[in-house]
Amino acid sequence: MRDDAQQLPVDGMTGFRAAHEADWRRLSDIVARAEQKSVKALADEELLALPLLYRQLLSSLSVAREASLDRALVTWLDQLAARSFLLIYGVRTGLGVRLRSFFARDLPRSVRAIWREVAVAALLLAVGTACGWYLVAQDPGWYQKLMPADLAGGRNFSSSKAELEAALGGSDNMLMIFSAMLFTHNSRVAIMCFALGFLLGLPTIGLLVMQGVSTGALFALYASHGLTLQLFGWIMIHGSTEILAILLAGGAGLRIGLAALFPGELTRMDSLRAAGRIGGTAMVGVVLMLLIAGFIEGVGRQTITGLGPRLAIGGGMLALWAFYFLYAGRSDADR
Amino acid sequence: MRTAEARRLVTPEGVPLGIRPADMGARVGAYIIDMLIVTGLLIAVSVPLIMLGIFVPGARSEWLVVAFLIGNFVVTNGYFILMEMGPKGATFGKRRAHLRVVSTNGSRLTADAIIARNLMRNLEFSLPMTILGGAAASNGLLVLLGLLWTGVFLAFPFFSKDHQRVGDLLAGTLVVEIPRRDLEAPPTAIDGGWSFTDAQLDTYGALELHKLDEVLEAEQYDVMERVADAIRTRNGIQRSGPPGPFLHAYRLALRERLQRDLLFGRMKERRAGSQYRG
Repeated sequence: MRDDAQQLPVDGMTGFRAAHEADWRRLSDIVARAEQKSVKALADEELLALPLLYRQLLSSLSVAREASLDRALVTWLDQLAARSFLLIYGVRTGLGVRLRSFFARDLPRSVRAIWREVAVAALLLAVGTACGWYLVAQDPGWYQKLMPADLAGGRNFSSSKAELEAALGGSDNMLMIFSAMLFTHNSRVAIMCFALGFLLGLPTIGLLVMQGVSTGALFALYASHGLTLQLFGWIMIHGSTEILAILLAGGAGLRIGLAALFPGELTRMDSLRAAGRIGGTAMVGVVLMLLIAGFIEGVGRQTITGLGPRLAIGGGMLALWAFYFLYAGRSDADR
Repeated sequence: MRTAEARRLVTPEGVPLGIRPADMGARVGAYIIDMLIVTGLLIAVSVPLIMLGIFVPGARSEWLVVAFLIGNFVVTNGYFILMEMGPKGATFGKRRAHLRVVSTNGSRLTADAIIARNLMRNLEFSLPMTILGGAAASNGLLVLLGLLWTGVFLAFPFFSKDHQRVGDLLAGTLVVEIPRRDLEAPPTAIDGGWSFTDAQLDTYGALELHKLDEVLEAEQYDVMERVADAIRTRNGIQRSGPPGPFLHAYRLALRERLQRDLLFGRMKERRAGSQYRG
């Protein structure tokens, strides 16, 4: 048996702990207060001390891991290190700053980054439209097959010219249309175009072509009564915004599909992640564009019935979007 | 469902932190609390709107619907994004479960990552629901596809590495569990008057010490008794008293002995003849 003096727990690390514990406790106190309220609640000298205390703690942790067998101490240090790390390397930018740089720089840049895919999406939509138009112009029987019933809105080849013209006019339940718009067909198509992109982009291609086909079919119907330009105005007033949004969504979806197919030098996962980041940024823009389009459709189209103003608004919006996406955020100055 | 292993997150200073990904039970619990809070906020937003619709004669119900839809979007997304951007990096639900959002590679968590992981939630859960609502009347196939879609996304975190959602994966984030601990003052004496000889302490190494730590942390009486018996039999220590104080005393003495050896450069990993690899 050893004598009692030797049995006192003079852990070899007691000195180490005694030397540093005050600093650890101070850091723990600062971190707890910053978490509880905010970093602003800290005094200036505490803010200055924070990084120093944090580095000291990391070095203590490294020492303790190597040299201490006191598990409670090591886990406590580990946990404190994690909390201070997360405080120091937490989110810095405020929401306001982030939003500003998003619209000034990130959004137009990501749209420019996927311009090839957007062009392909536009081509697909155009091909679909041409096919739809051609098929229906050849044989009106196709119209029923190509046009979803809920989109046709009762318009078909048995309608008279007057009925068709009336469908292009205004009505006064504008806000109803806007609120319905938030969940309607086109926004669904846009979001599905993006979301299904990672199935190698195939559903995106299908959706774009189908969207084109039904538009083409509608045009063929109106063309048979010589109302092509009127329909064009009716669609374009909000469509310049909405169709552009669908094309951007389709482009983003195709980019994701391509990233999965051809990751290049990246791993497939990293490639998908990069495409997802660009596509996701563009999609925020798409959602906003769809909201604006819904507003124009709900308010503008119902009150403005002249062909000229409709085309002017549609063209104006298109020019605005083109200018924004092509020229905004080119320089780093507006960071 | 498996439990994710401790993940070594390396800080920019080059020190690995022992952070454990949160398990799914805590995640789901936190999400339920958050959903209750969001529902409460939504009710708070919609009550004045409904009042407006009933008591103000000129109010257009369509405007109110629009205001509600926009309010809904802002509340459901804003709550998660703003809370996770704060110094705690967690919503109220996550705070209760001691969870936080961190970036996978140990670098600074960016506002973009937070926004991305939360917007993806719309795509994972809410969007299929809306489509289901819209399509339920018309198309059975769409309903099936919607269910499949949601099912895949819902099941994803249960099977993915570190329990990441699809949104986490895209944003490069991870939800970790940081339990609150307090550091107890070091013991000043071995209580119960236990004393051990060197021979009685030399039987074990650091591995056994950590096992003993775990046993004492779990505080299960029958396990403690079995362990205490094993130690006593092996070292020929007389059986007396409850296992708790004995184990605490033995742990302290063992740690001290191993610690002293360690400081002299002799690390004893495990007991002689142990089948465990260090």
